[in-house]
Amino acid sequence: MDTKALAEILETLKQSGFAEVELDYQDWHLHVRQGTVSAMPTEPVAAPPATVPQAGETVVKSPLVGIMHLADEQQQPFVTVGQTVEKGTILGQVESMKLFNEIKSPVAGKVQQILVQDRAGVAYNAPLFVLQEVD
Amino acid sequence: MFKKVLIANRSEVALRIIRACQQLQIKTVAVYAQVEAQAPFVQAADEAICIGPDTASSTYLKREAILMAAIITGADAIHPGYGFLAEDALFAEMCAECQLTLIGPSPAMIRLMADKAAAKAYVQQKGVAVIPGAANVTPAQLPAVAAAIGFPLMLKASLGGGGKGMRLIQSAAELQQDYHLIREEARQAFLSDAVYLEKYLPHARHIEVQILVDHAGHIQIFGDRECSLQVNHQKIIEESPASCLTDVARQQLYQATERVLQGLAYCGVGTLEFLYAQGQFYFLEMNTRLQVEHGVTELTTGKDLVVQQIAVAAGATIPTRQLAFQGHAIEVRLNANGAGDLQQFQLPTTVRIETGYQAGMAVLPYYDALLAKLLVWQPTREAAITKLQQALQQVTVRGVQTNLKLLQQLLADPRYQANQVDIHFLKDFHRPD
Repeated sequence: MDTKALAEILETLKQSGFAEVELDYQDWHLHVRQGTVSAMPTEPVAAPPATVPQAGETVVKSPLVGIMHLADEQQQPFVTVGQTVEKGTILGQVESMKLFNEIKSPVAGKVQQILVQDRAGVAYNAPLFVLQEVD
Repeated sequence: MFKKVLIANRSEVALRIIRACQQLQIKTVAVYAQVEAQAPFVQAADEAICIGPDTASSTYLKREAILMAAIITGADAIHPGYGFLAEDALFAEMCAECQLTLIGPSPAMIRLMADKAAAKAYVQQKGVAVIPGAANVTPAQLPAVAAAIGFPLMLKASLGGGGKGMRLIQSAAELQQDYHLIREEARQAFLSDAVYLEKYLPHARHIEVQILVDHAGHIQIFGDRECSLQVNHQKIIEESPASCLTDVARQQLYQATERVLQGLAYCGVGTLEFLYAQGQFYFLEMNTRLQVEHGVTELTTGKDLVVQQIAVAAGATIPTRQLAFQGHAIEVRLNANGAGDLQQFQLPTTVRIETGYQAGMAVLPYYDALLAKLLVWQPTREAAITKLQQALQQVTVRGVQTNLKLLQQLLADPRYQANQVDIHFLKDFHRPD
């Protein structure tokens, strides 16, 4: 399954209105859930994973305490892993007192990792994204 | 009772509140500056959230960050400790909007008492004496009003506190000179240039009353304290009880306290501060929060004030009464004279210690100078002084300059030992190097 096929499957699922789908296809196992679960995170705020940036990697950290939003109002993710971003591309938003603060990519590159869950609480300076810079 | 309390403070008071919460089986959340990630109070809390980089304004004064930390951790109450946001009415309002209980009085009460001039007008109305003075004086009225009060007098910022925004004025010429200066200072430090004039009492003592009021208006008086020994209006030695008071004077003091509180929709701990001169009490201000020196009251009354404060905030009721107190307690504040690394930090184990520091930690330039409080209790004041002197001999601090020598010299001073002090005592006291 290539990424194009995956994108098509995801789009089809999105149109379908199913909340949760599990799919086995060739050597792939796909488990997708959509929609929001709750407005506030109920899980304790996880300690930020240790991130030691490798050469050419940039770790984007939270400039403030708040709630991480990885998707916009239409539930479209701002970015996905593997996506190429420009300097200034909005990677996500951190909500503080109902204000949404955009987290913009400080470099041009590829999204290598998203380190937080959507709607998770994030502390000041918590690592959010790992970007692989491109020249 | 609360399930999880966020502590909007740092260092020793954060640890003190964590201890009280543990006793009440309440989970705790510490918030901290990135530069304090390794501090004991961060480690002692059940959860900890970094809220900013370093300075007070980027961390412990940042209302939104603290509220968000409470929201994302699911805390149901916030304990502000003292200093920082402890007397910030706006923060109290924001807590209420976020459905978080602030462990303290209502925003309206905080606002009333935070405005020192408004607080004085209020207590005067209740028939309690205040130091003669005048607020809202225009530059044109200044000479006549000052002459009516008489020199020397104090020029103070209405929203001032913690020893900032006040000046002793000896003459009309000095007043003209300092009036604009202090207004500018007040505007910068307290965001308001409102100032007032106050008569200066040369031989006054600083006496205060610790109170706790529940939601139903039941008032408990936890005895009194004397805190006359102050450097730049910052207390360094505090005692419970105020042993200069006769029983008659003490009852006058408590009656004045009750008059202030009667009919006031106050809930929580509080301290009413008075100046005591020539047998007369003058209301100074009311602090609507836990006080640094609350420990001496705990030692003489045998009560845990922080536990009671939290319980009352959660709705517990208390009977109206004056609590009995026993013996004599003294606290000294061991302060750093500047930032630095605590290469050595040894404190005695024979007395009550409240500290947020350990050897190897840095004293950062962003926060207050308090390194540790040492508290002793003995049956008499004399015995308490002796015990505290012995305790101070066991203090070793290297890497940071402290006021240890000054504390030792004060405790050894015959005038201090004879309890012949007033709020100006330290100004003339020979300072050790």
